Amino acid sequence: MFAKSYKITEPKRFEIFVEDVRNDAVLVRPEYLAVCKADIRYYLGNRSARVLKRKFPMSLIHEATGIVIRDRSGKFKPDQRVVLLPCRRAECEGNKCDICVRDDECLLDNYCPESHFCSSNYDGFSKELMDISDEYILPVPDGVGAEAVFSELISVGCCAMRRAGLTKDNAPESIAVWGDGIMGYIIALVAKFSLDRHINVIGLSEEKLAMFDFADVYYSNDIDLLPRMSVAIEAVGGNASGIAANQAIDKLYSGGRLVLCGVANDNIPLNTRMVLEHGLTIMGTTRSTRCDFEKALELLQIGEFRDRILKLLLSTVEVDDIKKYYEVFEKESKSTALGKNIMKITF
Amino acid sequence: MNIAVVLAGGSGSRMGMVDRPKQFIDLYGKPVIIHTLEAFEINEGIDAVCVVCVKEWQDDLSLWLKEYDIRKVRWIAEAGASRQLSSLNALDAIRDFCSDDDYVIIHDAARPLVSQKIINENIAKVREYGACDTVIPAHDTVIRSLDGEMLESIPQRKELYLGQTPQSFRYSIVRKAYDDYFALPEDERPVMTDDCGLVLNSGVEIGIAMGDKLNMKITTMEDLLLIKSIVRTGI
Repeated sequence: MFAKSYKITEPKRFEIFVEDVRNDAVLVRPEYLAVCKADIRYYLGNRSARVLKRKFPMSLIHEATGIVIRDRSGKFKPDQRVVLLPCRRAECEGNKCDICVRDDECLLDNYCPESHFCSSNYDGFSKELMDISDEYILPVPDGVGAEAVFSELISVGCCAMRRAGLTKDNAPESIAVWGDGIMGYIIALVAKFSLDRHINVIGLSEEKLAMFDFADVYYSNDIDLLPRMSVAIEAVGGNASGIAANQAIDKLYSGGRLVLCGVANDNIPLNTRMVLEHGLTIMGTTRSTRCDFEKALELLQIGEFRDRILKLLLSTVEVDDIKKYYEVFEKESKSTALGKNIMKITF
Repeated sequence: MNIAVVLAGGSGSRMGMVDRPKQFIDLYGKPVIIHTLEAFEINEGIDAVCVVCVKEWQDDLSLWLKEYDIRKVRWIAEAGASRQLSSLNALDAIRDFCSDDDYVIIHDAARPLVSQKIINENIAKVREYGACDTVIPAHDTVIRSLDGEMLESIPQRKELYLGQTPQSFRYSIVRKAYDDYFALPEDERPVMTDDCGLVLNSGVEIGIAMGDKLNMKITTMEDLLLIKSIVRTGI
């Protein structure tokens, strides 16, 4: 059947594509979409021209929920709401790379170089209809509404906890999270609710830090007040991620762990002398995979957690044509607010 | 209940083809009519579909319905000599199945790019008004000429829209309009090119559902070329 999709063809240029969508697996109508910073980088052209040329045209958006239209396997019912998973498992037999990480419990397909990721090196969810394998959808639990669109971000937080080996049984008494943006907020919230520990958050914006009412907050320029810790999570990203990471290195106890979650634009200098002196462990984590989404959906069923996620939903814009789609990208690319203006698509 | 009626009774004479009507042309691996039926098949608001089809193509249609797993088609009605007679045959075919308060969504088989949004808006508007037409604003200036030689007038563009399908009606409304129309002696029946014209002629108010430029009808070879260039395959 024919269906429309919106694809970016050059920075600040979306075009309507009409594609013939097959229905071999689960036919899904994307419902709520949220724009990620990575989408905005493509929209603004903040990647090298060579990279952009290789990727365009491409449908953006990897944070989405959808509604099942028809499932050939019968596992999902028509009208069932689902979360769409963006990581696409490699189609190789696990013998393409020297070391296959696809089935490594800590890394999984998320770190497999042969995997694809929607709106990065694979079409994203800006589509009227999609045929999607049941591997890449999960049911939205009853009682969870449009906020399910934040599942992807929550799953990234869950992935960080999993990758860092942090559980309720072994996590230290307090955890520090650098970053007062949406990723910092969600990672702090995931740490709070999945580990049940005291959370310290370090940020710059008084207005944003005021929203972290489940944590103790510290200003980045008053870092001396922050107690030392054994686990620090950097969720700042951008050019400031280096400052955050170095502050964390200074504050970690010997043997402590620094988990890097923010995406830096450029290479950042780190105080490796301190890393050596204190025997610190630095690890990176990004994106997520199916098991992290399952954990995210469990968290969304906790009322208090869900209420705090709902605060991130600034507005819902009904997108019934490409003009509205542009408007949301413009709004999100200029927004400094803690939260997102999400789309409900009806095009 | 919402019943879609897909009109596939055309001959394709304006395309110059002799082997098959336009609605049965292959478009990227499927007959045009199957693309159209798929749009209604997946729409949550459509309960059943009646296809009006020329007799000699009904066997082919039945095979395609199986091949492409189209399950909502419950009736294949015979095409009439005119669009009105085809619609009437569909209304007769579904008569025992639906009540006066059910809705009929009538669509051209040769418009395969009908979107879910258009179908949904038809369902919403027909429930609100009892009858609705799908239109798009006229972006070009429309010229009126009575003889095809001389310009007669230039109507105000902002008042003009171009009609598409679906056209949707409460069953009782469209039924009465058709019964009244065919009760007239043949030479007294006004010339109508679509179902909305006939319903409007019976004094019923008709709401407007916004269509889409892409919801174009394959009438000529140029239209087919346009549709083929719009649809991107292999993605």
